[in-house]
Amino acid sequence: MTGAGAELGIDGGVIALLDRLALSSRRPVLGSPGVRRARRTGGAVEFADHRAYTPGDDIRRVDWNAYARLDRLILRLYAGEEDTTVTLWIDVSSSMGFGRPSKLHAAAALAGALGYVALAGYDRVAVATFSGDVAWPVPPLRGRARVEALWRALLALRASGSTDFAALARAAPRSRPGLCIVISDFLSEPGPARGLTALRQGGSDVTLIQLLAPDEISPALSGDLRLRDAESGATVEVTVTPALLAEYAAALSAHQAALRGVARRHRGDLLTLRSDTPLREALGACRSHTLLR
Amino acid sequence: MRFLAPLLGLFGLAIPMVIALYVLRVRRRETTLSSTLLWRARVVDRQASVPWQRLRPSWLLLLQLLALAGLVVALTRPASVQAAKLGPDTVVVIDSSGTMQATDVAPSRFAAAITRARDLAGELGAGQRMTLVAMDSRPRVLAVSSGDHALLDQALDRLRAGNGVADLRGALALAAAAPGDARQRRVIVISDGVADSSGPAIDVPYSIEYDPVGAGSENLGISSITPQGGADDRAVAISVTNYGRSHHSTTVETRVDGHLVDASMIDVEPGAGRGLVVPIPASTRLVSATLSPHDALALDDTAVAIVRPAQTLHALLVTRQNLFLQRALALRADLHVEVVSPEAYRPDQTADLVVFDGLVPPQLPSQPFMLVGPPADVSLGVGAEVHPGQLRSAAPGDPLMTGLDLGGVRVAQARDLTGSTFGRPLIDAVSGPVLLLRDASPHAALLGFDLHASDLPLSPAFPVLIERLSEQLLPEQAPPQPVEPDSVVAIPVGVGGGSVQVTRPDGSGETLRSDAAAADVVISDTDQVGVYSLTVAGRGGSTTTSFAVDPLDPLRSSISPRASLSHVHQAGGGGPSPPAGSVLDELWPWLAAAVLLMLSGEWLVFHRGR
Repeated sequence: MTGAGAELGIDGGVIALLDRLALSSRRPVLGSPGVRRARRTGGAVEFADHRAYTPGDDIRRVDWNAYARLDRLILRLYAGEEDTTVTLWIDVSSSMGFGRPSKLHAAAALAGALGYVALAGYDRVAVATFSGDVAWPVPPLRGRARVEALWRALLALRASGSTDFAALARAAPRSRPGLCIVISDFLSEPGPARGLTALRQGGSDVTLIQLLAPDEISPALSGDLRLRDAESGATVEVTVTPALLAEYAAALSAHQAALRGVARRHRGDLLTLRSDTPLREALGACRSHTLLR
Repeated sequence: MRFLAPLLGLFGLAIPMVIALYVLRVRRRETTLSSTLLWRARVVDRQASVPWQRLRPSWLLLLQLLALAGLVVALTRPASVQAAKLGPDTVVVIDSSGTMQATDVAPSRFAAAITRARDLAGELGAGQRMTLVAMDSRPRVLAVSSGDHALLDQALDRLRAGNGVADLRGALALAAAAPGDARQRRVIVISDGVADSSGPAIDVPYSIEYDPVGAGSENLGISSITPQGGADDRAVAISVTNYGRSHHSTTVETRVDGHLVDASMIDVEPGAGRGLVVPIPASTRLVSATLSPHDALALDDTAVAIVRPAQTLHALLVTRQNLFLQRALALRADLHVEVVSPEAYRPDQTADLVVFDGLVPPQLPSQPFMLVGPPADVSLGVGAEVHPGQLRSAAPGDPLMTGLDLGGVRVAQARDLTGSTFGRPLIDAVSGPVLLLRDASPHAALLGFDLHASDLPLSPAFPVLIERLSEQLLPEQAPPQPVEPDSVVAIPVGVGGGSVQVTRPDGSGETLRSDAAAADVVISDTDQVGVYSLTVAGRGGSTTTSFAVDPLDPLRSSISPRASLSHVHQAGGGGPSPPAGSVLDELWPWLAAAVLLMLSGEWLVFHRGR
């Protein structure tokens, strides 16, 4: 257990749990040749290609002959095996800074855990953040040894800006095909449909994880209020009564149902978690939703 | 419908304030959320950037406005005027005194009182009975404990307003004697409250309701009319008093034996009097004064005085020198005044009246006499010197003092008459009586100060006082003038009996017979104003005389209706409770209940909407 992992809540017990888990895809994906056997039908292990070595790659797959000739580390790739790129799309808009702990912290912890599982399974892990723009704070990593870098990068995330799923759509082509896990509160409009379409068209399997703060599920509000949106600054005036809170709860359910519909149209799923859910329970929920096995 | 607290209706201004609360936007607490996405659909039409918003139909607003309106109306204490429920025994006292003739209430106070009494009689139900009492100077029962509407109406129809002063004490005594249970008796006094309040407070063992009648207080009245002067300079002194609160002008018309001889316009300040002297012919027999035009009370706008034929009486004034006294006595046309010095006075001198100024003779005369400014005298009870100061009437109801204005008259030094038993006091001061009158024969008066030590001789009251005293002291066949209505008049007919034919001012008459042992015949039926003629048939033949009845009592002319019968103390404490004849049924409890219902509805509507 490292300092960054501890700050994310990934202690020794959680790591022991993560070591027994693996990411699963709903369907076969196209990916780079790697150690994970592709679900596609294929032949025996056959050399397929070379690619440049990246930190975290298994050094056993380095083509030493090529290194001797070219003085560059080149990896040998074989057909019939795939390494999946798990891209963790994390919403870092201002709204993710709410909650105690913040939704962004919960997203980082969950992403750290899922990233660990991916790295431990010899998958590539990349982290993309989006609000108004898309950033790649963690380029594709591979190998368990890079998990510390992943966690440090996640810990360094800060919430700012406004959610723009269109930015996700614009950046999708740069994403490697694989498994895309989008972690957001999904409390913005327009919704993620366009981004998900772009990801799907890029050949990725999509899973949505919605993180909501407890106050967003059961607002502790009352009286005459002017509500200001943390991202847009827009205000609405309401008189919060029990009836209005009931209406809010119904609206939230409807919103989640709509979001789930969007996910399913893109052959994905929606997992909703409270931001104050302990990480072990959150991982259990991921197993229930077959994101982990 | 009446509103007992109409000013509280100003709370109605809260109604637009409530509406404003709905129009004005609420000052809201600002809270920052991660997203307002899910709240936007909950907001309807509240995004105006102005500090007010469109007033939308709201059950809450409607109920709140109705509740507030009901509350405001309840605060004003609306009350419906309802006829009071009569008890089993009701006594209605109807004021029929002279002031009830005032027309400040159309057609008159008396008519209004009769109408109210008739209304009360009309409310009588089965088992309820009513006693009617007329209240003037001689209260009487009109109907005794009757439930017969027709009988009560007839009694009220027969009642006429008199000219006297209301005797409240007597009327309440009659009410107390009415049949029935005194504890359940309801006594309603319909009056203007102008009543004789002399004497101690009136305690009654039952509850009284006072129903006031009357609205105005303005009234001018003739307060005195006095013939004066001798055969060659006859005149009549007329005083007019303003009993109201405003300045008034009036014309005083003087008639001699029915013929107008003078019409003078005078201005009279409120609360003050104004006098004028009108020359009249020596042959005058009857002089009258009338104020024109008549005011609210016509009764006191006319007064009449009988002018006696010139008859020379002899007055002996024993003085060193007192022009005041000499001239005041000489004002009487029928009085010849002879002045002698104390040294020249002889007790055997004959005179109808002897006036001693500054001395007391060793032997008091057997004829009427007057002592003015006597020295200390133990036998007469004339004591040491005192300083009386301001004078005042000691017998306000006495005809001698009627209309006599002693305001501002002061005496520097006088003799102390406190211990004197000479006679009854007519005028007194802080130090005690200063003028005593002996009614027993021989008639006499004792004025306890030297006229030069007083400003009395300079006041208009002085000649009137001297004339009235001389009339009182001198032998007189006719009764003293003036006589108040309903007064008892004694006519001397001489021992042995006789008959008196009385002719009233309206021409009606009756014959009275005196007891053989009595020297006087008593006339009590003097309720009419004007001249009463009397023909006295005695042994020596018949003689004719007359007297006038004039309503000159200031109490009658002060017509301002009284707010309460303050000198009446009823059972259970306190004075009579106004008003009688009707009760106010306050509606605020019903309104409060309605407001409570509306607030309950508002609460339900509010919580259903939450």
